Amino acid sequence: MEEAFKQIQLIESVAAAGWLLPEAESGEELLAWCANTPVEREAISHIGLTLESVMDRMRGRDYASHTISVAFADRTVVARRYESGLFFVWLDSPVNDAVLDWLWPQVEAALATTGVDLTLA
Amino acid sequence: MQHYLLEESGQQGMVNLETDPFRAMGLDASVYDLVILDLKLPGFDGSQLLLMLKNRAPKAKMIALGDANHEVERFQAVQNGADGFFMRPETPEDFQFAAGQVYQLLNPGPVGDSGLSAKAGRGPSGEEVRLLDLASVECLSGNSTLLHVTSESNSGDIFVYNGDLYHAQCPNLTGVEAMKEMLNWSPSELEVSTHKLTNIPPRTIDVPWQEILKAPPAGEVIDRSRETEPLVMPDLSALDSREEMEAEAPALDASQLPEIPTFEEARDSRQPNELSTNQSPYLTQTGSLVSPEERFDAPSLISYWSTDLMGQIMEGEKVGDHENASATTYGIYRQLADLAVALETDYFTRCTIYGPSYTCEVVADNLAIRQAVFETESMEEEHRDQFVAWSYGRSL
Repeated sequence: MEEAFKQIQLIESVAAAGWLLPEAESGEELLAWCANTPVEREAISHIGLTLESVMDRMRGRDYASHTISVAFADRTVVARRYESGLFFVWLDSPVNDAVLDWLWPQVEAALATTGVDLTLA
Repeated sequence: MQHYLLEESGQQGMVNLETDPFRAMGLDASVYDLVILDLKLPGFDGSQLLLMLKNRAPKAKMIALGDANHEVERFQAVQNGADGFFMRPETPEDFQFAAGQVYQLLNPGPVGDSGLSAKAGRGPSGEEVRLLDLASVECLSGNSTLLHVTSESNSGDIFVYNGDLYHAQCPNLTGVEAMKEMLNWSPSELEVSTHKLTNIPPRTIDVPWQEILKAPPAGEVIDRSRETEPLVMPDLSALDSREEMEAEAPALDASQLPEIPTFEEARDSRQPNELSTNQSPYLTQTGSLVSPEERFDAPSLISYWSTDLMGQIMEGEKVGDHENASATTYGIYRQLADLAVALETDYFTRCTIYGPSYTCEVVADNLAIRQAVFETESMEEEHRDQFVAWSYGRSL
C-alpha cells in the first residue's frame, strides 16, 4: 500500500490522500496516507471519516452512493468507496466529471498493484 | 524580547535565551513557565520542535512566533500544542505589545489572553475558560475570527467581524438566540477553536456584543426560561362551577387575534433570503413548494429542496418526507462545515454524491443549502451545473 501511495502522491494537484479500512474490519482505521502539504494524520483521517459519514447519511435515505466530491472554493476532496475500503484524496484544484475521469484510472492503477478489491461498494 | 519580558515582569522573573535549535532540543522545558519559539529555524522544523517540547513539558505554556500570512504554519503550531500564536514582532512597539500579551498569559486577567488562539474551553493553565470570555476577547481585540464551538453532540459557530459579534449559528437557531444557546452549553464540556475568518456570513446579530456577552453575576447560570414572564396559575380551588370559571375567564376578542395568511399569501409575500425566521410560512404538505415560474427542471431531475442555515425547509418539489429531507441536507452541511474548519479552508460550495441509481447535488452559500436528486442513468453533468447556477440565482 505504501508504494501505491507514493505513486498517488505524484499525481498532479494531490495535496493529500488516504485509505480507510471498512468500519467492520478495523473501527475505521487509516491504513495508508500521503501528503504534499503540512497536514496532520488526524486531519487526513477526518476527511475520510467525514466523507464516509456523508455517504452513509445518503444511504440512510435509500440513495446508495459510491463516489463523492466536495468543493471548498478552489480545493476539492473526493472519495470513492470500494468493497475493501474507502479511498479519498484532497486536491488543490476544482474538479468536474472530466477531471474525475482523468483521476480514477491513475488512482485505481496504483491501488491495483496492492491487490485490494476495487469493486465499487 | 528578553528585555521587554523582564521589564513587563518588573524584573521579577528569569528569561533564558537559546538561539541554537539543536541546543534547544536538549532543554528541560518543564522547568519553565513559558517557552516562546520562533517557528522559522535554520534547517529545522519549528513546529516539530514545538511538539517535542510540549510533549516533554505539557504544563509549560508555548507561544509560537510566525509569519502574519502563513495560515498553515499557524494551524500546525496550534495542532502541535501551541497555547498561542503571535506574529513575529518587528518594531520595539511590537515587542512591547507581545511581552504584555505574554505577561497576561502568565497572569491571566479577565480579558488577558487577547490575540491568542484558544484551542479549547480550557485556558493555558488548564482552568475553565468561559465561551463568554473568549468571545469578549475577540470583540475587544477588534478581530475577525470564527469561533467553532462544540459541546457533547452539539456544535455551532460564532462569527466575529472587525470586533463585532456578527453572526452565530447552532442547530435550529441563528443570531442572538444561537449565541444565547451556546452560552448556556456546559463549560466543562465545551471545546472552542479559533480560526481566522475567511468569508463573511450574512449579519444576523444587530445587538451590541457588550449586551449579549454581559457576564452574569458570579454563580448565576444563564437560564433562558427566565427570559419570559413566569406562568402563574389562577387559583381554581375557589371556583365551584364551570359557569364561575367562564365568568372569570377574560373575553376573547377575535378582532385582536393576528390574521393567519393563506399559503398563497405567505408565498407571495415571502423573502427567500430571509435567514432569521424560525417558521417557514410556505411549508405545506403538498408536493410542490415552489411557484411554477421559479421552479427548476432538468430531464433527469427527481426532486429538489432548500433549507435555511438552521436546517428548516424553505422550498422544494416532490420532496416527500420534508423533515427527513431537511435533516439530511442540514446534516451534510454541518459535517462539511466542520470539515472546512478542520482543514482551515473556505466553507464548501458544492458537493456531488454519485450512486448507481441516484446522483445528488448539494449547493451551499451564505443563505441556503439546496439539494437535488437526479436519476444517474439519464443524468448529464450539464443538469447538475444548471442546478448549481439556478441555486446561486435564487440567492441573488
